[in-house]
Amino acid sequence: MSAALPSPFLSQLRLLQLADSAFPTGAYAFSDGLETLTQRGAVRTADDLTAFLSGQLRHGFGLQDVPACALAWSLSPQELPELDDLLDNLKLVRGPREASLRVGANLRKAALHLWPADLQDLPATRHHATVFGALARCLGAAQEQAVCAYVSAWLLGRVTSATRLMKLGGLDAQRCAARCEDKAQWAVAQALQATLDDFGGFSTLLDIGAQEQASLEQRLFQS
Amino acid sequence: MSLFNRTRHGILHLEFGLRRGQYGPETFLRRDKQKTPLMIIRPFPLPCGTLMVFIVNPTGGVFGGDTSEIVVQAEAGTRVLVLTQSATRIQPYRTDDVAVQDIHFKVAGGARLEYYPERTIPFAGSRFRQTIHADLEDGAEFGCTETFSTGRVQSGERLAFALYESRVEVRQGGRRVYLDRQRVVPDEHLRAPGLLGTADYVASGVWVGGGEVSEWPTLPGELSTGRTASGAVWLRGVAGRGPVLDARLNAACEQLRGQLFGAVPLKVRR
Repeated sequence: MSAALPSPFLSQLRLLQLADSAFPTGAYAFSDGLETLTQRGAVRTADDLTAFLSGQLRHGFGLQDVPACALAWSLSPQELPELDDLLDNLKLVRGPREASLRVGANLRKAALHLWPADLQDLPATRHHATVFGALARCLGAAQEQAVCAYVSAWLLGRVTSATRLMKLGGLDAQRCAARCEDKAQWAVAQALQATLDDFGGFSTLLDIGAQEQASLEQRLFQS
Repeated sequence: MSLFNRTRHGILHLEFGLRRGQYGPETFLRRDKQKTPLMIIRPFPLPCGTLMVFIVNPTGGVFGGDTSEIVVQAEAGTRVLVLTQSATRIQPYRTDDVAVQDIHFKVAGGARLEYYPERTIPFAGSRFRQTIHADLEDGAEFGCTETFSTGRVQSGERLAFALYESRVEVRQGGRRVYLDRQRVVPDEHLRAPGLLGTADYVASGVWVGGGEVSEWPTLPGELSTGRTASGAVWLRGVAGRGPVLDARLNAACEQLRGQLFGAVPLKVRR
């Protein structure tokens, strides 16, 4: 028997909690290649960071993880393993692939600990995007709110990482995120229409950088 | 078909088998079906025993609306190398018409099939969609690379095409071991860090073989290799100049072939 859905206000509160950087997922330990790009000098300034984030929303993360989150919200539990399998394959680089799985497992574990009654029917998903989408649905959040929260968490997580990787103050980092609002909106809108066949994009230099991460002499992040 | 339909549907089906040769088993072309504009030059063996075949398109390039269907089958024990004679130029025809290329490889256990085509050059306004699908039996070996440029770079034309999409899927024993879906739609963000940067030449590749890889080809910021979740080997590379990318890709390819297949370098004369 499914638990009754929480009220809209409660759903919103829980969604904000899930997306908060303090939620114990361990996401703060991963940069998914940004650290390599900063060390190699490809991302040095606030403008570079904004360009990087915009590019990912239009051509990389926005065409893969964001639609995965949206579909995890809408697909049936029987269809979700195919979605996770797709992400297993499309995430060519080991570091970001394993980070996605680890953050997904941590997110799932923490949420089940906090709201066991509401998550009795939580489907078994594995990647960060799919766990987030499936959790948001079980907690009663609307699909567009769930995807917005997921994109926001990624965007703010990246600019926070950037403050540790480069000379960038907190307010300047937030300004970078704000300058990406239109691209973030575009990614959410695309994701809400996406099918499994739409996944794809182009992130060649990030793939190269993410693979090099493990061999950096000094590093702050695991990926 | 309309008399006024100027698009073309090329077909190329190749089936390679094994026969007894003067010095032992040798790979030969058992059957072929060719429909213009897709043709092959007569296959000939390399010193290593691999049978090499060039795919030729004698027309001025691939136009929007054209379709190409290539099916290559390699029987157990065969060694096959498929190349293209020249770069594939993708040219626009009517607005929104997409040039489509579908390639299907079937590789039996104990066979090795490799496909290393020349570069794809998408001209201004062109749209290109390619699928490469490889079905490998257990014990089969496979290698495939693809490279594309941002356009007619020597003429100063960069990122003026409308669509470049390439989907590569490799299955072994029915299980997906590699999936790559590159979709490039030029806009003002494509030169961003993490995407294309200042590069104009892009390479990717996949290899499936039983050997261990201990020496991973890498060039900081420009070329990386690694394993997929299911054990295939992937490659990503970029460069500012085509010949530079080709040299790096060729070196990486031979390094991986040596480790995965125990193969000697291919000595191809062009």
